[in-house]
Amino acid sequence: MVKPDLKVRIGALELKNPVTMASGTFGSSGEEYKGLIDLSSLGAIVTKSITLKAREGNPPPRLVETPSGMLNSIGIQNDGVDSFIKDKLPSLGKLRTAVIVSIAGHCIEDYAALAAKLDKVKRVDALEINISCPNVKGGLEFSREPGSASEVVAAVRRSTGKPIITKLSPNVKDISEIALAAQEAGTDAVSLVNTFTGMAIDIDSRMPVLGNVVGGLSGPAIKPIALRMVWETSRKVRIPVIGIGGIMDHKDALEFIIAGASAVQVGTATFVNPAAAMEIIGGIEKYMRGKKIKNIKEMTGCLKA
Amino acid sequence: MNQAKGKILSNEEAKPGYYLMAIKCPPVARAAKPGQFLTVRCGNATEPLLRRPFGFHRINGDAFYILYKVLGKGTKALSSMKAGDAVDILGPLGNGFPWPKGKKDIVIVAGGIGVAPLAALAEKLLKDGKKDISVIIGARDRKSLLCREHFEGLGIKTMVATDDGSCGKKCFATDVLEELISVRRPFIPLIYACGPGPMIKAVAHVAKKRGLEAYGSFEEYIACGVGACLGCAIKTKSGYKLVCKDGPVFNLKEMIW
Repeated sequence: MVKPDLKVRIGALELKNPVTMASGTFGSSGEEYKGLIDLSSLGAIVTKSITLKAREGNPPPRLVETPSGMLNSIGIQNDGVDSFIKDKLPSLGKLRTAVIVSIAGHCIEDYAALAAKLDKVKRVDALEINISCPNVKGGLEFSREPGSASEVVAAVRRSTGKPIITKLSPNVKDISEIALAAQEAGTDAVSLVNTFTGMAIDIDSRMPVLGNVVGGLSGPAIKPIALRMVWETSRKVRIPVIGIGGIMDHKDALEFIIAGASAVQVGTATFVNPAAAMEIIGGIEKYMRGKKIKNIKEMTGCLKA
Repeated sequence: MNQAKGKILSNEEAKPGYYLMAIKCPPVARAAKPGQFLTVRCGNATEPLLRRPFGFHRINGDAFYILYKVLGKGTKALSSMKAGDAVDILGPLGNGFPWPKGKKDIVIVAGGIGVAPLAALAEKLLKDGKKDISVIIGARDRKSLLCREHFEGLGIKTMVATDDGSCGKKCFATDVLEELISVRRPFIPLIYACGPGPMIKAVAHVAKKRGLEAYGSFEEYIACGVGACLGCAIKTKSGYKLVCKDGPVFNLKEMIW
């Protein structure tokens, strides 16, 4: 049998396979993982969210393990967009992997300015709009209501010709409503879900474990909820959906694809096993050979329900 | 830095609640330096989820030892593993202890399980011909006192402090440090420390007062271990630093308490 075709499309962007690295879990350029895995084998790298100006991040402790998951409250620590373009992007230059740059802002103008700056940078293949970070004051605001989400997307759309992915928060009443609003405002795809807000308490000190009190829950604990949200959303939108949430192995990834995702993002799993994404790519390919599926696109949304 | 399969050579209870595990893992062991650390995946389930970090307790050719206290789900799972079992190792990670320049007295201050990485340090210092090494070990009581025989076996002057006086002096390790520094004059040692936060802070205080160079190994919850997730930030005079990538060893004068 010929090699299964794993290529997927996100707007005008073609990925060699549907497995991409989730923002915030893979550094600003993936260089931390260079010696451990073959970055060129990945579908795409979504870089750590950048802001217009540098951000110090939240006070420690910034993470804690919870049952089958983890809470983080990093707070978008980053050196700002200019430093990112100058210091981080060059190391991605030769990589044969798509580079999706995640952007975050405090106001709509921030997002527009970031998109305009990155629009001129050739190595940037697409933008992911992070309107769903639970760890920044105001970070969730834009993804809470369809109106504000669509304003951000429209502003970014006006500022760049590059493909846009909008990353959505699960901490909303109806995530598919936000996805529809983002679609109407011109996003090329939606990625979901970002982390669920949560907390942990030290019963001896009676203090919150995280310096920021609350953080975002990720990992296998959130997978069933994320999967349901991807299924609900993909049935309503016509743009590609990128599935995120506790994907640990190829079986998890396939569940998201069957539910309706065109691609997936792997995050927490990389902490547990740096080779997780590569093993997922291999696992999907093996599954397709076994089931005699020629093209991964046949799999998206093939749920029998 | 490598992710490699290691083979457990032995895993024995050293003291009640404390285990000593020997792991054969050539790509990690051969590259390891005292003060660096590794992470272990404690099983294949999603619980415990994250890899657990350990300092290299002893580095010996193709193998290394970790010394750990059973504290939670990860260390509990590790303690039930047997010789011959395979474990997923990532390391060596972070930076080792800075090496002393020239002829210098060295004082090593250990608190509780913090003694673990200091054994590898002492062994390497001896190998490099450093002779003037003193070790101070602090522990809650006799039952949780670790590595005393090991340091003494290496011929290193070893002092002990316990909270309840059941072994050595009834005081903190840093009280012994203060005494040692004030008795011997002139005595301008380089200090290495690893232990609970309050102990490291007390060491930093003594070092500052006496104008001594001191390094401490720090601990935080670790997710990636390689500097990608920014989860293990710690406050220093030059902003947040990462325990996993910039540390785990820091110059104590750089820290903000």
